[in-house]
Amino acid sequence: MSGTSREEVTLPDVPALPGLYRRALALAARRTMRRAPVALAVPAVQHRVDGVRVDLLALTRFQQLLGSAARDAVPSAYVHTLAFPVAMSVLVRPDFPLPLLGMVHLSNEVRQARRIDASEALDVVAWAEHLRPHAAGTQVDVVLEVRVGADLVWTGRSVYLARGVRLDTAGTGGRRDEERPAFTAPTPTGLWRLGADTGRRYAAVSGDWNPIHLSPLTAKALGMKTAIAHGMYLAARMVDQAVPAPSGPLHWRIDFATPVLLPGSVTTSFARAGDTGHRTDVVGWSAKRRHPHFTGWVRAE
Amino acid sequence: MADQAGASNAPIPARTAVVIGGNRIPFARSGGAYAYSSNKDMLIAALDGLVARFGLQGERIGEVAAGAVLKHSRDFNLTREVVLGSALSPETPAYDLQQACATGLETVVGLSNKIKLGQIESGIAGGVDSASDAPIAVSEGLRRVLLDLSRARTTQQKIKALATLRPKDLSPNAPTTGEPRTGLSMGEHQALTTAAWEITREAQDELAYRSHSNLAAAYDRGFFSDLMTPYRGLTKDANLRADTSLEKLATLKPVFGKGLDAPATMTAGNSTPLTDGAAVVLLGSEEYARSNNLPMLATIVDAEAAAVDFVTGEEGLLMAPVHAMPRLLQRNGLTFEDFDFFEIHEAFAGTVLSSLAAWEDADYCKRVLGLDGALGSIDRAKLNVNGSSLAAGHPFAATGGRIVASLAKTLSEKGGRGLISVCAAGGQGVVAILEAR
Amino acid sequence: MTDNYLDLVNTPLPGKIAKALGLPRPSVLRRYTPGEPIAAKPVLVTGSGAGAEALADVLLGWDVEVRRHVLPGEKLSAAVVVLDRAASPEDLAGPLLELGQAARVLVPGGRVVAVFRSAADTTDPAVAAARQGIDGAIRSVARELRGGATANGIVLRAGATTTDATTLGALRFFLSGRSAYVDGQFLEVSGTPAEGVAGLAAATAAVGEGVPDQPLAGRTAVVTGAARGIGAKIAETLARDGARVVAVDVPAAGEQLAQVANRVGGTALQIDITAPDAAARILEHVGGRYGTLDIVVHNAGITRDKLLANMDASRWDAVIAVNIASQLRMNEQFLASPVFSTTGRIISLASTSGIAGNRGQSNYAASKAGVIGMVRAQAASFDGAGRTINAVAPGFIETDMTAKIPPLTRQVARRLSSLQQGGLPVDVAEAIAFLASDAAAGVNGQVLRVCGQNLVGA
Repeated sequence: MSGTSREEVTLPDVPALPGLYRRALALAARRTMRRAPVALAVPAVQHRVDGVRVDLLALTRFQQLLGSAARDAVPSAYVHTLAFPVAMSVLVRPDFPLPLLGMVHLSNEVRQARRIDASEALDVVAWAEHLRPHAAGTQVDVVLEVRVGADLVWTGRSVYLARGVRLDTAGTGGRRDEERPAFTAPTPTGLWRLGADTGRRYAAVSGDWNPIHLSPLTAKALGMKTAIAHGMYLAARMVDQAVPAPSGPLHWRIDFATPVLLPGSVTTSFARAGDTGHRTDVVGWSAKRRHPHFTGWVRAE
Repeated sequence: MADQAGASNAPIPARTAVVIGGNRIPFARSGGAYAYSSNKDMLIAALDGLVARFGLQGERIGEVAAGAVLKHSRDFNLTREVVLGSALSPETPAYDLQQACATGLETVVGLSNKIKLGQIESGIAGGVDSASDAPIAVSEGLRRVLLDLSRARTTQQKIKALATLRPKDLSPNAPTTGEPRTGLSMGEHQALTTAAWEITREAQDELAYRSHSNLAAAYDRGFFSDLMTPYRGLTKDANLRADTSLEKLATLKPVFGKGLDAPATMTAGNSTPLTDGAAVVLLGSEEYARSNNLPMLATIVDAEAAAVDFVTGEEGLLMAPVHAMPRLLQRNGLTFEDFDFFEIHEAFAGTVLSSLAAWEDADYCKRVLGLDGALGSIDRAKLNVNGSSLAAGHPFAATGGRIVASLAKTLSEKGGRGLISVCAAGGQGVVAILEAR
Repeated sequence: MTDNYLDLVNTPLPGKIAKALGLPRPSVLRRYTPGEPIAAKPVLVTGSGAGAEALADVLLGWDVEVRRHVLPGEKLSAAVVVLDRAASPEDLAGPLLELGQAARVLVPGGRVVAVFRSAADTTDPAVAAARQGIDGAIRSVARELRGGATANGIVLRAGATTTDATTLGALRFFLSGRSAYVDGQFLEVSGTPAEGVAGLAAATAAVGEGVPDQPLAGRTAVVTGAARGIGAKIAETLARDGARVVAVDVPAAGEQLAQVANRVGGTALQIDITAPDAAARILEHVGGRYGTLDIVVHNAGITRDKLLANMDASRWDAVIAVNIASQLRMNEQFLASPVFSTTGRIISLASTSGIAGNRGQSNYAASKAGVIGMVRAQAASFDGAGRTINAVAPGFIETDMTAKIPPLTRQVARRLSSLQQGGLPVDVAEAIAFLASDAAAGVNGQVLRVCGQNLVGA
């Protein structure tokens, strides 16, 4: 958490994502029309929704889509899905400097303090911070905190990239990411075959109907080559497969390298890391193109 | 926390369970002679042949246990339905069991244990599989609609349920041999293991060649005349190529492991094809065999199952028998030297050769199996002497019954002790010891 | 295989038409059903002398209504002509003319059985003429009878009497439905086979107390070629009569073989009978499972038809190997084995082709005639030793094999017999079951034709 103090806005309920996307579209249109200058700072504000409830049927469908056991414990990635609209509501604020649409998801890191039960009421807080330059534009961290009562049970930090949006590097003191090293594929241990409907099916269980995931047409309309898999879908599968029966604290991270085009397949490697025992290193890549889609790790603590 | 049924508490069976005999139908290639035969049809054919061989008509057998890997939902009670359709007494109880390719062997283990405990006097173990008549499921979307529809009470609810149906939902889902947790096919998994153990193409082809020539020789000397009952016009395993040669095998193109850095070595020739077939084994207590004047081919001594973590790449998918073997040998105070025949199921030539290599690798045996050194090597002249799955084919759940009956007959002819090793999907494996009477 | 013509003429209108046109009118034969009475109507016993009197008494003891003369307006189930005392051709007139009257009132499926002595056992020309004369007369009667009735003879050898257990066993067979397709045949019986042999005592008891429903109870029978056709029917019939059946056939026929074994509650043994170890494997199986081998039915046989001019060695050798060489080899091993019962029975399938020859079947006829030669020679070695060996020679039997004969030829072949129809596999099987039973303990070295008195080889 950054040290700056933020104004807190409490929302009555978790906003619906379609509405948020409409707002994002309208905002983008306004910005295009008005060519209004963009403030190069994130608003010092956090949005809050209290008492978020887990819908058991929706949870079951999510779990079954991933092939994980439909336990009463909420999958770590599903907490992100639940809380994400709150983060979105921050990103579609008129004073948020970057355009939401077309923003690229670079990474996620989650610390979960304990098992979260589906019956627990979750209080969610979201804010954006750490706006900084990236080789291809500007990146920003979106932070989500989830509490049960006074306990902080889940913290997620997602990094997004707005391509082509340039900050004054001198002014913000950000650094440019160094070039990626050449990719060497590890020994594969699995293969994910993702059908053309993967994005739609994940959208149906997660509520994230971002058009870039739904169909080639909607994706092309937003400038993509074709539909791509949800980052959180890949993350959720990664976490579930690495630790199929989490019982305590969980810490994981995923870095997205190149999008997974749909339909397609992702060759995967799950490897127990060295002597630390509890960490599983994961790589997902394209065997055909020999480039990575994501790398990550999951640590059950 | 590991299950430590070690030498300290070796089993002391109250009684002995014996293999009395077996029967199978010739194995057909998928889409071949049994293309329109169901699992039930084939298992009844195998069971009826066994009943005929041993005169069990109308007899109440202690229990029949069998299974199928690819099973229709309507066959939920497959084995019992088969018993009712067979010449056995309808008062014979039955249950289904499924442990992928180890199904057949595990039914033998389960029933022999019941015999040893005195719970039953006789049992018929076996399995069946049809890759031709495999179940095809409706799509997930259609399935949900149908389920919602069946729960709907009003017309409105029914229309609502139907309205969610999409054209794409109407295309069915066929079963795959892919591992659910990794998405890799069994062949792709084995390709990883084959590459890791640096098993050569030549070695795999040679094993396949020996499988065919051994099986052909067994047919020639009439070995199967009391182990097999023809079915649907098939009198021999359709996959058998008695005239194959190393040269012919060498011309086949690799089918698995093409995406790996190591050269792909696994071909259709050194991998088992999809096969249809059924096999059953008659087991009994010594008292049962004696009082019914039935032969006793071999004693079922002991068995051990193992499983490995293949999901995170810790171990190869089909390497579980490698782990089970030292536990079984230790419990029985035996080494490879004490065996005269080895039946290692040839899921792929690479599976057999990787297993042999692992047992010979002192470093691996110490590091992974926790042994003092290499487990030992197996004399190839004692391996799969009557052919195995590469030549006979591999109708998943039927393979255990085929192996147990063949080994028991070999032991009854030649004497000695035999070791069985069967790998299975899900990173599992079962090994067992049979002994001549 | 169904005989449509037979079915047709046994319906009212087509029957009348056939009669008007003088077409053959075959009847539905009276076949055996367990528990059937020996005779539902009275039985005529004609002939004079102690032999006829004694036989009439035995029949009375079987709860049969016996008539010594034909009564006006009364139907007869059977006529037994006792001519054991015939000394000259003049002696035949009385009993045979009485038989003529009886033939008029025989019920459908009626039976004529002549009991007389063998012409071979006398050196007196007049006696021999009388005895041989009976043979000719009965064959003719067989051809004259209609309505599915048959005429057969029991030929008493040496000291056999009309009431010996072996005579009575044969008589019951001829009177019963078991002999439905046996017509114009003569069965030689010797009155005293093997003194003290269990078979004789059993046969006597069986007849004296009424024949049990399961005359083969407790016996173990091996039937080769049991997977289909006549072999399958033999297995069924022996099992019906109480035998435990080991059904043998080549591995390739295993599926049908298993079904036969399961139907009869026996065991299936897949072996090639031409293999050198065939007998050893049968003995091992029977010895291990049942202890003793009581009955062997050599039924397995093949045809490889070609005119001799076109015959090749493989066709010839295959037929000889399966149909006769295998039997010789197996018999030798059975007879040397303690597993084969001291009262064991061997019954071989011969063929009318083996008696009369058949165009295109020189190899087959050689093998089947060979069977007859083998049976006679082997029987001589058994004489009085408790074991018997006999052959059954089927004529035109409705099987899958005869179904392949061209339709017209098939129809002609059927009508060539006195019964104007083909036999059924069960008819062959019944004859075999009889020969396997204690009642046939005195029948040895015989070739019993089951042919409906076919012209071929008559």
